Amino acid sequence: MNLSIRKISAIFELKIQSMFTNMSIMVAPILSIGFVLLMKIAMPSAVATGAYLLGMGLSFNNIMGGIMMGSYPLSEEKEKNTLRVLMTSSVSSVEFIIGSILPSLLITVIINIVLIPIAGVPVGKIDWPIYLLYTTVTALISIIIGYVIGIYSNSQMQAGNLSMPIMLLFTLTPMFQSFNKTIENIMSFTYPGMLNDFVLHSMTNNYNINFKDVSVLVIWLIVCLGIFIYAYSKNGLDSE
Amino acid sequence: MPLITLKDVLKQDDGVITLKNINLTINSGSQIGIKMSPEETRQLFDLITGQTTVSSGNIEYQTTSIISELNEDGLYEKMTVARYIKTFKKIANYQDDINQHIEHFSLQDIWQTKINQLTPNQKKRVSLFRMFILSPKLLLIESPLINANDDGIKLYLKAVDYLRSQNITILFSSFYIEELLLLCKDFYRYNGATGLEKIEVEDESTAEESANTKEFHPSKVFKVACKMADKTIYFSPNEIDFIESINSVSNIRIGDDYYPSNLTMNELENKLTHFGFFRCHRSYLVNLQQISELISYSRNSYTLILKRPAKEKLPLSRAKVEELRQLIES
Repeated sequence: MNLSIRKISAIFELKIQSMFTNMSIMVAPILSIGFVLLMKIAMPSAVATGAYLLGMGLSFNNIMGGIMMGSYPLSEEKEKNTLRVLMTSSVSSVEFIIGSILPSLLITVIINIVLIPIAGVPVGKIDWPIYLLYTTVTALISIIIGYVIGIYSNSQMQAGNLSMPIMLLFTLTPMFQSFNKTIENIMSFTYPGMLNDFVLHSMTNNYNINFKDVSVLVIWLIVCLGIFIYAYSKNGLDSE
Repeated sequence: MPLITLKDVLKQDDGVITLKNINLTINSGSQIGIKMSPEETRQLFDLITGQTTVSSGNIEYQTTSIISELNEDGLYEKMTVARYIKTFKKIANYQDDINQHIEHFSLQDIWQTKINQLTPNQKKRVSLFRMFILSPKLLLIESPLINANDDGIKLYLKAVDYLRSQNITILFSSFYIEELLLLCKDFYRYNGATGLEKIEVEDESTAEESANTKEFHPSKVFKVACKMADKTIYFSPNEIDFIESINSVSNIRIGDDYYPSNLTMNELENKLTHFGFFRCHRSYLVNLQQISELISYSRNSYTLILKRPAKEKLPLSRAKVEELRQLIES
């Protein structure tokens, strides 16, 4: 398979532009910053600690944002009948996928970095390599889940309907895990729960990279990739 | 030189035959137009571009540089024309300066306009420019003039001529033969019952030549005029499947459409008998070329079945059976 860097970069530019002009995609990153700011102002600082705010911001951005940024661009292409045009213009599906995943990933990573000062966490307190690695991998998992949803939906509305339950489950459950031990246990085996744990622990004491967290991430990544490859090989990018 | 040759191509989709008996050679420089429905067009284009495979028959490729455009294909509406074309220039790795071609597609004044502000005519030309940049050998385009006004048609035809002058062969498909008459020189019609058949349309130049000869008397030229709202449509006799009298109005039937004519059935019969029409019943005048079967369901009733996919059934008067047999078999 010959991948053309030129075509990937053309798709990359195309997607960056179409994402910035599509408010329904940009709502997740904007919402994550907005919520963190709102909570910081509205809630007493004893409750809304830097770790809590950052954890919430990352959940919004990496989970909800990632899923939306995976599913919406693909379903938008199908809804507006532009995907076929690209595919008949000598762009291969793999080039299209790489070219459209990269902008989503880039925007999510930038917001992940911007969230640190917004949440009021001292920049020096962050273990940058681990932070970037964990947040980027979780964003990638969400984007892949989003892509699977994108394959099965033909319009942005449909993509929204399909992703809403998953987004709510993954984004909101980590916030409640401190109230219930069982939920906490279950969530620690999911990538959103793991991300939340990592943020809380790395703020309170020194976080050491551990086998469980890495395995959770790797297994989720492999399973989601597997589901994506299955859905893609069965339906292509278009399930119709 | 042939670019693509389709031989006895048949396509089945979900157990239903969607295309059959497709025999077609697309030569380089040919100007082929096919009258077929949007669904048949999609199937045919997907077969030729290799996105789906044939169920039987085969397609010989002399080129794989083929691009298809369906009517529903969209553009990135929030981009400007310039940005859109430049994106595809990058994808196609097109080295020439695109500015020298803009005028041929009549896009100078809207070059920096957002695509969502363009008219359907202009969007079609933007789309044509995109396909031009991808430099295919063969272009397959569905109904490009369907929403075009007179000026839009003129400018589109100018762009099509430019593409053809650049050695790009274009095959058009449309549900309306009128649209194809503007775009092509060779015409085919896809008939669900019999397959792809060539339609002979007299070339303007040969018509002119014969008109110049003194012996020529245009006695056999007749078109059936149907008045619809503020325009009059002329149908050639060979386009018509049959004519049906409903409430004393003669209705011309073409495919699934009815067009009322001002002439009475008797007047039509007099004029159309020369063109192979036959009054099979008081209320029906049938084009003999469209007949495929004659069935007698009972001793005294006869029915004619036409070639069309709907297999239209027309009554045949008992008294007319012998006459019809003689006409067809003699």
